[in-house]
Amino acid sequence: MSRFFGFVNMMVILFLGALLVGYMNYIQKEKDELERLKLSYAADFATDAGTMELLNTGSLDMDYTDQGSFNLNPELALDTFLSVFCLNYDMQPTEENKALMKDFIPVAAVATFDGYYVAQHTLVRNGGGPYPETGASDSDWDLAFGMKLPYTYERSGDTSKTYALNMGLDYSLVLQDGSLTKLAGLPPNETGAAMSRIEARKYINDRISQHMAYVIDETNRTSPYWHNRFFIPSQLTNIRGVNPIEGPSFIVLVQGVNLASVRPISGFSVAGTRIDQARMVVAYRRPAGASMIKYYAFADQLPANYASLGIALDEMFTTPRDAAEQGYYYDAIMNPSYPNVP
Amino acid sequence: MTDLFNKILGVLLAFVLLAGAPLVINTLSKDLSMNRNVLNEMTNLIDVVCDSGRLTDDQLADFYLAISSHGTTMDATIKRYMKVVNPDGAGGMRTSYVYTNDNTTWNAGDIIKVTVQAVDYTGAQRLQYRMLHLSPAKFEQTLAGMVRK
Repeated sequence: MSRFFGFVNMMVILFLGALLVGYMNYIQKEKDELERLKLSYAADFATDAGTMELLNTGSLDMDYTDQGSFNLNPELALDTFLSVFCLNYDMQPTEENKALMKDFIPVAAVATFDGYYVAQHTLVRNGGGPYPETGASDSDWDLAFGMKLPYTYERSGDTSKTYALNMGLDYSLVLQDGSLTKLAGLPPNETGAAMSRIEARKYINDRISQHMAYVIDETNRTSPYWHNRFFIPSQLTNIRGVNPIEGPSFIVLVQGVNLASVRPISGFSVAGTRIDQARMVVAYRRPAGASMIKYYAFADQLPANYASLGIALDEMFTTPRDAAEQGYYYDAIMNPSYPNVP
Repeated sequence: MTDLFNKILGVLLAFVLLAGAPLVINTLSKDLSMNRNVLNEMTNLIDVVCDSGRLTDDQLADFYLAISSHGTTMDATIKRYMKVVNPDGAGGMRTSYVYTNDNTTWNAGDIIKVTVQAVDYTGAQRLQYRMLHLSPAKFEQTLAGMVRK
C-alpha cells in the first residue's frame, strides 16, 4: 500500500512540475502576444502618420487635366514614421533613436502616381577602402530610398513593347524601339483584349510586392531562420474588391523588434490614402433685410451673377461641416431640391 | 508510518493540483484579456483624438474610468508633442516635436503619446510571487499617434 501512495505522489509531483513549466511558458507567451499586438498598433499609427505627411507636403502638383496625378516626397514619410514609432516605444525622436529604429526596417515602399520608391539598407558612405568593410576602412549603412521605378508591364507574347502603367488608369506610356509614346487607355492584356482596371491594379500591386519580397530575401539571405514569404494581397475584401494599393500608399515591414520583448518580433503595415475630388463648399455673406448673414452653399449651386445679388464671398471649404464649424449656415435658397417648409 | 506520511502529502498535492491549477489558469487568462483591453482603450483614445483633433474633459474622464475597469487600477499620462517646423539655415527645414502642457487644442501633425501604468499588482502576478517568489514587472505600455485634422 505504501508503495502505491509513493508512486501516486511521484506522479503528482511530476504533474506539478509540468504545471510550473506550463505556467512560465504561458507567461512568456502572454508577454509575447501583447508585444506583438502593441507592435502592430505602433506600426499602424506610424504608417498612418507617414501617409498623412506624404499628402501634407504643401504642393502635390495636382492638375485638373490629369486626374489622380500627384507628387510625393518619400523621405518625409519615412522620417515621420520613425518619429511616431520612436514615441510609441517611449523614446524621444532623436537622430540616434531614429537610426536604431531604421535597423528594424528591412524594407519600406512608397507607391505614387506613376511609380514607386523602395527603401533598403544601402552603403551610403565608404571610408575610402574597398567594399568589404574592415576596421581600417569604416563604412556607413543607411535605410535610403532608391530611384523612382515605373509600374512596368510587358506582354509575354510581345516583348518589343514595354508599358508603364499609372494609378490614374486613364492612359499609359509605351516604350518601343527607343521611343516613348502616350497611349490613351490601358494596354492590351495577355490574351490581347483590353486590360481591365482591376487587372491593371493587380499588375501595379504585384510589381511593388515582388520588389519588396526581393529586397527582403536579399536582406535575409544569410539568415538561416528566414522562411517566410512576403506578399501584398491583391484583394483585401471580396465585397467591394478593394485593392490595397490604388492610391498613394506607404508600406513598411518591421522585422526583429527586440525593444520590449525577449524574443525579436515582426510586424507589417500598409497605409493608403485616396485622392478624391471634393465638391467644394463656398462660404459667403448674403444680405437678408438690413443685416448680412453668413451662409454656405456648394460652389456649383451659386448663381453666376452672385455679385449683383449682394453676395460677398469669404472662403472655400472642402466639407459642409468645416463651413458650419466656422459659423456659416446652410443656404436653402441656393439648393432648389431642398424641401420647402410651408 | 511512511504510509500515513504519503497519504498526507498526497492530499496536499491533490489540493494544489485541483485548486491551484484552475486558479493559475484563470488568473492568467484574465490578465491576458485585461492587457489587451487596456491596449484597445488606448488605441481608441488615440484614434478619437487623431480624427477629431480635440480632447475634452469628458473623453478624459471616460478614458481614466475605462482603463481602470479591467482588473487593476491604472494610471495614465497623456502628452502632447506639438509639431514645430523651423528653417535649418541651410535651405532646408527641421521638424521637431515640442512637449506642451496644453492638451485641449491639437493641430494637424501633433503627436499624442499615451502611457498607461498599473498602480496595483494583478492576481496572476501575486500568485507568481507566492509560488515562485518572482516579482514580474507591472503593466506599462506606451502608444502614440499623429493628429490628422
